[in-house]
Amino acid sequence: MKIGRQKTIAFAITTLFSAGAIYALSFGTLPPADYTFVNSTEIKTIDPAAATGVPEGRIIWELFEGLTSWDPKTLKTIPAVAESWTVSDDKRTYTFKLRDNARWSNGKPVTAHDFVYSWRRFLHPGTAAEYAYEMWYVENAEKFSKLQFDIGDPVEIELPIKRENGKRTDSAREFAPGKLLRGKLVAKETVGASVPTNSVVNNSVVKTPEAGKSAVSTEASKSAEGPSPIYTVEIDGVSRKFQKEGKQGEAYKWMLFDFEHVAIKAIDASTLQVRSNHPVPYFLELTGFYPYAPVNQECIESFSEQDWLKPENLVSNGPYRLKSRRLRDRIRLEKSDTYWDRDNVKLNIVDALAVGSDSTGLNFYLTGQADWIETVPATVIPELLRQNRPDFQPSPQLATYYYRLNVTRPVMKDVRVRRALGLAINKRQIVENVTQSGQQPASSLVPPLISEYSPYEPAKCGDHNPTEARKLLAEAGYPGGRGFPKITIQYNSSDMHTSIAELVQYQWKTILGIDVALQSQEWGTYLDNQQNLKYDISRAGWGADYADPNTFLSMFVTNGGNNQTGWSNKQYDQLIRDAQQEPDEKKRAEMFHQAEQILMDEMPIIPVYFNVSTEMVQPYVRGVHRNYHNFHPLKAISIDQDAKARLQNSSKGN
Amino acid sequence: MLRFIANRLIWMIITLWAVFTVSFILMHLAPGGPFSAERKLDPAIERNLKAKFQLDQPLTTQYFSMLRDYLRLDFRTSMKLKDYTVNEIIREKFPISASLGILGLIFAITLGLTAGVAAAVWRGTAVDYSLMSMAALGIALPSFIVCSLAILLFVFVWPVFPAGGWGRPIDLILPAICLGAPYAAYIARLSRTGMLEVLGQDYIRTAYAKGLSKRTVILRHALKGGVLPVVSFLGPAVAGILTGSLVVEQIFAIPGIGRDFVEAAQQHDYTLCMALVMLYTVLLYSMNFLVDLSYALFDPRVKLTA
Repeated sequence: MKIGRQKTIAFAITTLFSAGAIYALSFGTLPPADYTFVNSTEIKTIDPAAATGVPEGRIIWELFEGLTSWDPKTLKTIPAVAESWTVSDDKRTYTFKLRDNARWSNGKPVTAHDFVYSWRRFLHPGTAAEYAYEMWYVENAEKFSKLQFDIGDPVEIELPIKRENGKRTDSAREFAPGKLLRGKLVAKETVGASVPTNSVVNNSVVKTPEAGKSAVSTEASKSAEGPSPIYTVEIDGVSRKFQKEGKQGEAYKWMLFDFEHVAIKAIDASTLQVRSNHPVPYFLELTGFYPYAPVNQECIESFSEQDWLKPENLVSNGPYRLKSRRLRDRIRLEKSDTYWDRDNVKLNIVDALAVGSDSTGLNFYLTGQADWIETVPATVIPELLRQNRPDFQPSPQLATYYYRLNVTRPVMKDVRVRRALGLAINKRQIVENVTQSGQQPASSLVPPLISEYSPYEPAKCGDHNPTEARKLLAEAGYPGGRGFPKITIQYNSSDMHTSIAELVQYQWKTILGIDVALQSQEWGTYLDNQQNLKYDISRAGWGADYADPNTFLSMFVTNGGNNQTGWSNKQYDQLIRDAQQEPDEKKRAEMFHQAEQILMDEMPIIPVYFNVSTEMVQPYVRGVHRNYHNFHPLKAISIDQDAKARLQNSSKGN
Repeated sequence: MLRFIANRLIWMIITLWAVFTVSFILMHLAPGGPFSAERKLDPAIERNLKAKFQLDQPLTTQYFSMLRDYLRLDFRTSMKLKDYTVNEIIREKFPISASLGILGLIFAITLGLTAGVAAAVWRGTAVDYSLMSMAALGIALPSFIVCSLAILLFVFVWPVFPAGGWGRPIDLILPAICLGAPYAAYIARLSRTGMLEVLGQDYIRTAYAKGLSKRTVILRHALKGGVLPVVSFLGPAVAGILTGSLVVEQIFAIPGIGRDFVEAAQQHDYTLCMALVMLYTVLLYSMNFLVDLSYALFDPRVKLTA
């Protein structure tokens, strides 16, 4: 009896273990891909409207194709779904002519209506697209996204979906929105409080910061507490009352500024017309940006919010289709046989690996498991440079590493202190001794590389100048650093940021005679401190969204979301606003230049260095051109099989 | 026995509820949120996002609505991996971590027990010293060093294994060994201590006196008592090893759940993070429960009582 039990236990344990081992080894093997690249961490989504990052872009650009694209070498705008376009004389109206052989992966043509649908979805508050502001250049798009409408504005009302036994009662597809009503808003009543009916509705007064903030908070608290206002809308000559909860009027799901009045129009199936608020010199560049890509209405409305993105369901229009996806492992792309330019797509199967660590990525590259990696660990850069490898040539990027100064701190209110701090930093020493991969010391916010893409010359702050720095500090009342309060540099935890801050700390101590403390913060805390101005000096970085000074300079307008220094300058704000509206390219560049000069003289930020790309690409890969975005569309890439075979043979020989 | 099980189940529910509540409070107390980013969002966009994930409601409403969903085993959509529901993520990735964990565990138990028993039997000899110093190294060396050394040796110097990845059986071997190594070291030390204690007991002397061979005494009589400390260690160890290791998964690019655990916490992915905390709690609790049960099987002196 006793032995029996013992044997049972032994048997059970053995069975459990072998079952486990068999299970562990049962995962299927995929055939190798033609081209494999390391796409940093797992991407958040492949939905063009919901995505934000660079790794996301590498996948989405292959799956979905927008109106325009960028040349892989020069990044100049080239035709994609649109085969041609015209721009009106006031540089505000764009008319795109779509090519007639652009196809979805289900074989159906890509039409102008697809773009209207996709852009509406992108802008819709329910989609909650983080990049929505990239389309607010389009007339009335911002109102639509932000749920803004005033009395007298045209509105559209989406009614709740009626269901019986879980099935929709209307004939729409399962996940389509509810019925839309269009009309004119004639009145608003706030329940429980007497507010004049003709007051401005919602937060359409975000111009001034205080008003904006209070409007935001009331809007946010409205959904949580208290009944929603009652809106009177005139629809086809009949006045109807609406209230969100449906207690004192008809219930609705969304009430938005009418999309019919957002300047995105399908003139016919192959003509799309868009009108912007003001001239946007980089608008055609933006239409190549992935959030502007079209998505398939039928596909989205047939499956749930997440299921339409599954490989078996997804309908897309790009050079590649989604073959399979394994979280934090790989995304496998397969050449699309319906893509209009399929004859020029050379790679059949491509793997994008989600590798979280740069060291692992480098291991993959060095063992031939990956053909392209975006970056290498900072610690191996000097060694790679010493080897003088042809496949490792750091190239400049449109990205700046800088220090934010909190100008609301009493000591930093004085511009002389800010300039002294800036002039005392020896940036050359930082790039030569710390970052060491060919970064250039920065004396402007906008990288000089921009001149290759846009007619703009960055405005400079002074070079490293210890004498001048000491003089300015003395003038500000702190000769030799005496009496200077203790301030702190904060940064998010990283060896690189720590080393840079330590060097700056040393430079300020030796040159200005001031003591600063260093504080390493967890990412969330670091961001929080920056946004709430709970810091003295904070490390920051910014990479261009598009090759235009606006992407850098519009950050520092008064109360801009990314300003985060407390700095405000009326003249600067005016220059940025004027430049954004200016149709003449030369005048526009001059205004931006003046604005940057103010920023550099006032110095709420200290530019430290311009970043470089540390990508590596195997010597047998053709068509990967170095550019500021590390933009390498797969369409342009091919593998030189002879070179690959030669390389493999030579490595075997060793 | 049944009363014991019922009692443990009730406590499990209470524990889960407590863990849920504390995690919920801690998550929302931490500075930053799922949508804080280096690029500050426009307030209107941030509001749209918050509304989408119901983060615009008062905390108590959020708490009860999340609790309700958890009772229905609906763990919602991940806030950061937007294309997946949390249930899908766990379904896809837990098996990967678990299978790697099982291999690591097999390696750890085999190596650890053998080494521990050998060290105990040949106590005070060179075998004992070398095995125990190796075990000490195994415990002392952090995981990332073990992994890096293994990669240096078996990927670059002597290229027998791939640098990482997932899919082929050969991909599993190196990570499983690296994952199991510290556990093997612990098991070796525990089983050595356990065996030494048992070997000094009267019933072992009796067994020798009966004229049984050394082999029979050790394997049949001593081992059973000697592994008891290992068994109690295995409870939390199994839970830990099955839920994956961040370091091993990161270095070898294994798509397991350990990486999600850490990243979800770092990125304030409230939904995924909470689900993984609960998963870990359930595993830890059940493993400890199984350990208690197995005590009764291994040691006749133990009686299960509530």
